[in-house]
Amino acid sequence: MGGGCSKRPATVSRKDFEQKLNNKNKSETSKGNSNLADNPLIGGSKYHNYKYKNTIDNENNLIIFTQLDNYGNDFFVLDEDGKGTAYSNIYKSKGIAVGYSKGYKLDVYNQDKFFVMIDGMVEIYCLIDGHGPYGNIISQLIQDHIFQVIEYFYSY
Amino acid sequence: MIKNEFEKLNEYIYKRDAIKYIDEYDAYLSGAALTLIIKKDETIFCANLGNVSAFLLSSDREHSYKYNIIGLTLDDSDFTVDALLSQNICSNKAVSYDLENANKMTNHNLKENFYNSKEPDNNIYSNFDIKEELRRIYESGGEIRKLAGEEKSRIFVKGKYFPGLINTRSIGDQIGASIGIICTPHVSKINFNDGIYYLVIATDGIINVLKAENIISIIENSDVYCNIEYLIFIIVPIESISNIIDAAKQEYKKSSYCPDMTIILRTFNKYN
Repeated sequence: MGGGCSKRPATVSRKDFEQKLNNKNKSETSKGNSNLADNPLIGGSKYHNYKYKNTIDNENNLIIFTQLDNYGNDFFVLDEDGKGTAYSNIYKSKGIAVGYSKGYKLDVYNQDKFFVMIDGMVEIYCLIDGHGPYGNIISQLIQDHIFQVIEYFYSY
Repeated sequence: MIKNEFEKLNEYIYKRDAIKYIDEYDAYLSGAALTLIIKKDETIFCANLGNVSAFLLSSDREHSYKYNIIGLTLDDSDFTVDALLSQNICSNKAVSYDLENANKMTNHNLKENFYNSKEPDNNIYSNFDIKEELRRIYESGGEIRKLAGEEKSRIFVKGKYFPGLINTRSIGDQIGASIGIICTPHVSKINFNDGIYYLVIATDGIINVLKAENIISIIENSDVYCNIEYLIFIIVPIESISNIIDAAKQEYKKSSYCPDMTIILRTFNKYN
């Protein structure tokens, strides 16, 4: 890690934490998309096992947060007209708030996807806006594989 | 370089292993705009493709709570054809690097430059060149026009009515790639100092109806923040986020259409 990180106590046990999670998730990943996990592009990622998981680990200063389903909502909140949704996700410990709302339109799915990761002093935010008939699938793919891009910056 | 990383990601999407079950033609027409922000120590790095906007609101606590807008992406609606044509590029913006149009950039390690140097290298500093963007599209066989009844200009294959994109750069567009849409991100970097900051990242659904000034006034009226020197303070912008979404929804009430809206807010100072 860079020099600036000395401001905070070092997060020594993060590697152990990752390893634990890896072992824990091995059984889960082997059940499902085995061909996806075999892909070097995805399987090579250090954070592969955090995919689809919202993780908050206060001890190790690690937070990973994404939208969970294609509707872009953990649950629906109907407004006065009985259409549309709005729901906010808040990280109290870090002063972060994410708000999303699916529009009133023909597409069933929310095409916006986001991704937040906080690992000690490094914070990563990604907001993706899909377009086209299958924009939701493209943005989902990017949300899942943006790790490759992030790792480039993260491996210093 | 980050350019290569994005190209790898783009190629992966082209392979469509995960989306073979859908109609091919529709998949060719689909793509995505994205903004990736990395905050490390006192530096913010931003890579942007298409019209997902990011900006920083900074307030110098000593004098007033008035917020300055520092654009991390090019404009409120950066990379859209209309924004480029009008050249309304934010005057107070972060140091930016245009990877595609700066020739000397190709052999330079951006990561090294980003983390090790405080001042940008004059050789690689380059403004975003609107002529270059338009030239690339016309030379590749695209054209820009407005559809009847629409205010927005869109990019089409010459003489056809698809794909109708509004960005000159995006990821995952296969038909777009044939008419000069590239996946090289626009990159910017900024160092921050004392003061209160809001990092705002929002999709075009919000930015099209609420400008940065509107968002500032909503934030000013929503959140109460702590005014104690040298104290590590944490503000959770709960009120702001729901008020911004409500305000944007209100704007769309007049029309029958409402796009998807997503916004990320992060409050921070030097210490948190």
